[in-house]
Amino acid sequence: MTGRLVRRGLVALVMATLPLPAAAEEQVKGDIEYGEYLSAECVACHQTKGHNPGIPQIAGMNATGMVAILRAYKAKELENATMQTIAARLDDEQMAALAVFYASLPAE
Amino acid sequence: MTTFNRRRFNTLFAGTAATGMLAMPNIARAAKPKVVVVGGGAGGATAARYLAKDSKGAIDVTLVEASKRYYTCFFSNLYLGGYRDYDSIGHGYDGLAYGHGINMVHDWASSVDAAGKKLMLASGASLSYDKLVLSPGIDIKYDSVAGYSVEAQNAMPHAWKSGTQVQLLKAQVENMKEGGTYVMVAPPNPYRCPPGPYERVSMIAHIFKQKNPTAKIIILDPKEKFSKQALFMEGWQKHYPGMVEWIGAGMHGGIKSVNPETMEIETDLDTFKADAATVIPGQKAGSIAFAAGVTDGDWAPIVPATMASRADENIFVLGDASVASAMPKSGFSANSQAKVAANAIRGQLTGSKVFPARFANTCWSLISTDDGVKVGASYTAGEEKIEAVDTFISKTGEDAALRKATYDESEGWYSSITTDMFS
Repeated sequence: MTGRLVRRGLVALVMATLPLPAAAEEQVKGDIEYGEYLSAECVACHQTKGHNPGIPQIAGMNATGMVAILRAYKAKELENATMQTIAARLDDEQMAALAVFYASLPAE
Repeated sequence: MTTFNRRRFNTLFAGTAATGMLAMPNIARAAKPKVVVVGGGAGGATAARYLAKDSKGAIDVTLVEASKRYYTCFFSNLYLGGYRDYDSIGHGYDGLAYGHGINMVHDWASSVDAAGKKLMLASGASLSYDKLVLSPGIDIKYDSVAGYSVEAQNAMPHAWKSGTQVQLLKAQVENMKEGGTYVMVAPPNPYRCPPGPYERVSMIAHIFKQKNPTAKIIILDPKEKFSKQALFMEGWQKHYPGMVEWIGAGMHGGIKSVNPETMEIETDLDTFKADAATVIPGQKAGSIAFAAGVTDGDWAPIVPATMASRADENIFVLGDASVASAMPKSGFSANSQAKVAANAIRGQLTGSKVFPARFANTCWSLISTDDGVKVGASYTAGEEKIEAVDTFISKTGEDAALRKATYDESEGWYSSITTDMFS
């Protein structure tokens, strides 16, 4: 995939993280406590509060969008070696747990 | 009275909770379990913070750290290269003390009474513990390089612990005579921060390029190869052509001695005269790990699933001091290991849910302005060792935009990990 296509894909995915109707949001079911535990791996790079240039803000991201992005990293459709490695070992249950936990945090 | 009431409430609450649980001796004692953490760096500060934050007051957490202000070893090279000021790599403990109720003890841990579960402090005081977490980082093996000593570190700074040694090295490099030679004696494996010596050379080359363009850099390495070698070699050729010469063990035949009086480094091949020098000797676990009796050789073996010492189930060892097998000795690794240990300790002391251990690491290095590279992996707890699951490394020939994004990512990481340690 070329850089341009990757960027276009990322734009589409970021669009998917914008607020959705409640019905769509309810599609992701996950264990929020497990998500909080798993998030300890994320917070080493993604701050939960405040803007952090160089690393995207993920607090408050909608759950459907986060699952889509994690799956795209796992499939290596999005480029970032660190995120591909992190996503590679997340199964569907873990992605959902992370997604509902992050969706529960206030967005900055 | 408020404090008294809250403490009393917690005691009552803990007592109530205990009636519903079996085999929780610490809670049954009706006193809060105590965890003492030694070392306020990436391992210790993170462990203390997660224990206090996630137990929500159910565990009494004490952090023993001699310094009142902690200067991170990671990013000290960026200070050396002029990309950051010294204050920006310094962090205080107010967030841990006031935000999380952690008892900050600014003292040196001197010895451990393992049978009595007590930590002795240099001041003469002692701390009782149910679980002890040791994250003391490294000590320098001065005698691993003939002629080197603690007295010699002024003339030839190792600068392998952050703080005044790095400030001293920066001054020596910036004031080196025009067209002079800087020599680095690189460390043998295993050591703190595998790409660190080579990022340091990159940062010194960056200073020379601006202030002293005819200066030379020679690396005398006891190893045959080093971390991110192809990436650094490519970067040095591109940004600092003709300035940096790396001489591996096969070429120089062995580093025989260093002389801080004459500033000479003798190898089998030749004697090198330096105008400024760094000697990074071999390393070992911080002294409290030896005093606690948890070391085997130079480092402390651990149980991968919990980071508990192999020698004492009530002592946990994090970060550089531990034998983490596939994981490098880095701040990122220590931060990751601290969360695994905190989860396991909380489970043992309060009965909270324990999730399977997961570890990760990324080491970023800056070669020149906006030219960042990285290496990293995810890890899992095997029976005997921490094992890599998936690894990655930047590639040679990457475009400038990707290298800049990698550097920007490292800046974001620094902000996040220090927040994760100290906020």
